[in-house]
Amino acid sequence: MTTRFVLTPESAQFPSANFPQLTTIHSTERILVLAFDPTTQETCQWRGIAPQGVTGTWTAIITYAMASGVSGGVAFDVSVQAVSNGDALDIDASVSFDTVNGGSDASVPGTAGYIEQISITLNNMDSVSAGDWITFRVARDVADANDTAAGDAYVLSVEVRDGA
Amino acid sequence: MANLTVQDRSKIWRALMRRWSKDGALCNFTKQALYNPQTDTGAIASVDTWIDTHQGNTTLDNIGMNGSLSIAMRSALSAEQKTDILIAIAAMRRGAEYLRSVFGQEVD
Repeated sequence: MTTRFVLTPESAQFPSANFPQLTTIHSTERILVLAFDPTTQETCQWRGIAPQGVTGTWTAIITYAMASGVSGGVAFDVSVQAVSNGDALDIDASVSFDTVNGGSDASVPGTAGYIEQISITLNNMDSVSAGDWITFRVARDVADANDTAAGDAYVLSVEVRDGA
Repeated sequence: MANLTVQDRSKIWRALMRRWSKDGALCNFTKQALYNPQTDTGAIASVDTWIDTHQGNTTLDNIGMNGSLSIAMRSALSAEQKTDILIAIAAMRRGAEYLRSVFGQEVD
């Protein structure tokens, strides 16, 4: 496996509505996090260029900690849009995401503030190839049966790997 | 006065979890145990129903708020969280603006 992207809270881009709050935790360290609501599905996105040499099955590893919940689980969705040179997609007005890739963690850490990582296999990568303009969209799947934890889920980072 | 609507109970649900997330108040229960809009059950529904049932009492009532909660939630909720639930529901029974005046921007 090779790490291809490390997506950080400060580099996230947000839609016009229902996006996670970019906030800080830790009173002195001021750690930037994305706070995903437990009841409203919120999304954010990261954009870049698919690196040369990408191959195999991609995986997203979401590192998170709970704000207050110490019981239940959380679920996240990762969607991918890959636009190739000359593709007929008007990015000024349209999107073309592949089918959602879902994953969950049935048990959040027993202590709020402890981190945990969810690995989501990205089977639906919108036929990405090297050089494509790629968008990763991440959402907390609040309607998922496994998303039962109360309170915000703080996403600290998303690592994207391929099979190389 | 009737029970609060599912929409109003849901507003309380969202506001309380936002509040507790901000405060870092431990939630040793699931979000559905606090309130489930699909089934209109959970602690918020229980306490609202308790208030509604007993608001007209003219005699001393021996069913306390704690008794209205599920057994699991009686111990899972902290005393502060129970107080927050009671305040939020009571305020919402006067209206969303009233609740907003207590809980601020956490109320949508």
